[in-house]
Amino acid sequence: MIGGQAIHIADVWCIFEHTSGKKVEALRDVSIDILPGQFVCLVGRSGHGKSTLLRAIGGLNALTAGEIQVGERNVIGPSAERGMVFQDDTVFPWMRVRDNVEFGLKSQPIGAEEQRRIANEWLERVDLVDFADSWPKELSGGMRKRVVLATVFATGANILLMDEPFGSLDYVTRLILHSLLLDLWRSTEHTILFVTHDVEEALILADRILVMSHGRIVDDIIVDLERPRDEEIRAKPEAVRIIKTIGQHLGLGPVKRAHEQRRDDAIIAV
Amino acid sequence: MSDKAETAASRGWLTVAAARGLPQWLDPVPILGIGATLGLWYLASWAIGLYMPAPHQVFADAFRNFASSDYFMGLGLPAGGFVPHLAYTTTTVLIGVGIGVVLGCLSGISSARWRTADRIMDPIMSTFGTVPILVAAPFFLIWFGLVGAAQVILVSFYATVIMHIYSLQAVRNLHPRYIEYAMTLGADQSTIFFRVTLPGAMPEIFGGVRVAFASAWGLAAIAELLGSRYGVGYAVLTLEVVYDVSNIMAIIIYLGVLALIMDLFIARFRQFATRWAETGKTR
Amino acid sequence: MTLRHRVLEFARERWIGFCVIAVILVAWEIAGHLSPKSLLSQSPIVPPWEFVFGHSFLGMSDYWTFDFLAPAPMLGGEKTYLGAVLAICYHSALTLMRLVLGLVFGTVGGVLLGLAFSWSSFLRRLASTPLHILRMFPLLAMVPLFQFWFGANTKGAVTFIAYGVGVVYFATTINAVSNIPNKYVEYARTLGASRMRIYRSIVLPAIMPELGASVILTLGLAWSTVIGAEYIGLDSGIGRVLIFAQFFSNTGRMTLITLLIILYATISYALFRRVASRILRWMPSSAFADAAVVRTAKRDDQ
Repeated sequence: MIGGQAIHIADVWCIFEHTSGKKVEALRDVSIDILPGQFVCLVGRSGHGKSTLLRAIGGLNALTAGEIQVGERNVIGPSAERGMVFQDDTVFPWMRVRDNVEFGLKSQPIGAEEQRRIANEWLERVDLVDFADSWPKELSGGMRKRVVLATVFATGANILLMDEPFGSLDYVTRLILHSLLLDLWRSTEHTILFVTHDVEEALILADRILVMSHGRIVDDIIVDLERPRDEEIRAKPEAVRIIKTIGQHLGLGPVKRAHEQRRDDAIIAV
Repeated sequence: MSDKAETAASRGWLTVAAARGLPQWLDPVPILGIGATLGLWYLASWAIGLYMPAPHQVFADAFRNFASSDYFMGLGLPAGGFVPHLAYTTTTVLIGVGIGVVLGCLSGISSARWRTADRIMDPIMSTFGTVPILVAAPFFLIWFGLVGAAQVILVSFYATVIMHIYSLQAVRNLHPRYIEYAMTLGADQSTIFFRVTLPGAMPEIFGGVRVAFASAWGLAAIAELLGSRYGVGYAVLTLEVVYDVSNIMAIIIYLGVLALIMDLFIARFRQFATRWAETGKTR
Repeated sequence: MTLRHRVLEFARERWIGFCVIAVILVAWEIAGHLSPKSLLSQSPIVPPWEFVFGHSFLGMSDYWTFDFLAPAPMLGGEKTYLGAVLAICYHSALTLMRLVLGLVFGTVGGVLLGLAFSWSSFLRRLASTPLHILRMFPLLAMVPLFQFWFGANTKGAVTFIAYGVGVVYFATTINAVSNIPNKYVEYARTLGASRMRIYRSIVLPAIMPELGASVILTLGLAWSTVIGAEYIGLDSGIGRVLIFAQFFSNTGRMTLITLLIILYATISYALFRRVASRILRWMPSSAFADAAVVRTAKRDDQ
């Protein structure tokens, strides 16, 4: 199925309470609209709300206030229409690769024949057909990520939520997966929301970068660089400007002393 | 060097066999270890004397009285040497642990899944988990006579508690990310349960089976010591009267061997059933 | 949260559990009234609670065998409540003492031996196969053997418990030492630490989490072994009293003793859990502790 859905986020608050009683405002009054088929990256420092927002859209975190709508309907829980790729290695180790890819199809009204066909098709697209009958333990980390990509795309979900999916992989594998992901995106035109702390990764992948700091979206940057983009990207003046802007939002600059950093953090948070 | 040898070398020690490219079971160190133990045994028997027969005597007795023994008949034990006793105890253990595994897994997994089930089972299992099941033995002796079924019930009681605890933990310890992933793939609750939770919990559940078996042997034996007319415990009781330490040691060695074989068997089975699991990880 | 809140929370969480226990207690009582009396002792096969706490409690004075502070029924004296209390205290103290001594000797001995064997990797490998086999020998089946070797008395019982506990700690220590990530030892070496120092400042803290997990396991083991040893051959301690009562079909007394054992076991577990978590928390090295928390959670409640 080609195309993606829009995501409408309105006045969202997400407040967690620790067992010690301390309250953490993970998301503060977040409102944003994501257009169908956009590739959006969420960047920001660890702990500033990116994953919380993503999981809320995925239906895995409850909201304290506000609403999230996908295609006119409120998000109330996880569903196959919003596929998620986690940083953890979630390929089911007790199922062979093929069974992993077919997993999402089992709950759809499709016959076994058709399931097999779809699974094969996606295994081909991620170039893992030769490993269809292997156990996940026999695959490398990068290959397992490809299994997850095949699995999630195979369900037909037209919104993909990815939480630092390539974080635990080495540099070269990451580049390979970047181009694979972009290929798949180009042919399916799904909406993709991709969380990362790596600004360069965001530049290579995204149409639009949302910068999060202290639970708020502090900037919304359209990335106009033409595709295909490669690692030379960071040399382009436009890219440099974006990196600098993001850096300033996240508090980068000459090395600051702790109290200066805290003062700046407080300013940004307001 | 083979893969295994390389890992061993990197850990700072190298099995002698691996260094020379021999198969692992020819490795001399474990054999040396057993030899050293036998040596210690000889030393002990020389030092203690009457109540610590030397290894060769114990092994001779073990051999001689294995399948048939006039000596045993003379003591009033049934014909057939050690075998009928070992068979009886083994049967008790197998049936008892079998029942326990089924019941324990059912109750443990339900407790992990439904809070009500947990709230009902938890006080019961916590009490029985802390109190030695042995305490029930005298009651069983009075109520049921502690033969046959009663012994099986005692062992299954114990195995049920163990399996409940292990299967409960196994389900709870499964990384939540697998469940979340399955949910975002559109799986419903029952699919998640049967195709994600259960397979994922298998390795740890098998761990519980091994533990249940390990102690079941001792429990069965001591139940027999208390009041059975068959089985290893009963044989030991009879031999105790005539101070025949050698044969007592022999039959206990046999019991240990049986326990060892059973343990290896379960380990093999677990290897097969969880062949998807990466070596070195429990999950 | 205020105390009132905490109590309410506790009650709300556990009310089903309380109901279950209440049901069991009531069912027992009903069974007690319906069950026939045994021929031998005229006490019902399932004794109702008033019988247990009344008649049987008094009957416990039978086990007070010294004519000191209270008369000894066995020597012709009368049954008294004081005698009953004394009997209970005496035998409980004996059992608990054996339990504690066995645990202490077994723990210390097992750990020291394990550390000694870990000193040389050759020794470690030498010991591993016999140890694995030794662990397979059913402990409870060896009660008569140990009584032959060390006597059917407190010394023998303590040795037996110490053996059971010691084997577990021996194996656990060796395993834990071999599991210490090499990097810590290597780092210490590069800082010039002597072998002794490495053992004291690195090995010992590093194995604490795994040992902490064994604390609960060995407690259960120790209880089984002390009760088992007292069942067979020993002539004092509450296990012995239990079997003695069973011999005369004194179900009331059996129930009373069982309740006592449940009480002691529960208290000892609660105490040991505190100790185990203290050991885990005291060790600042969170790298070790994180892995061990999972393992403790797993092996707790055994």
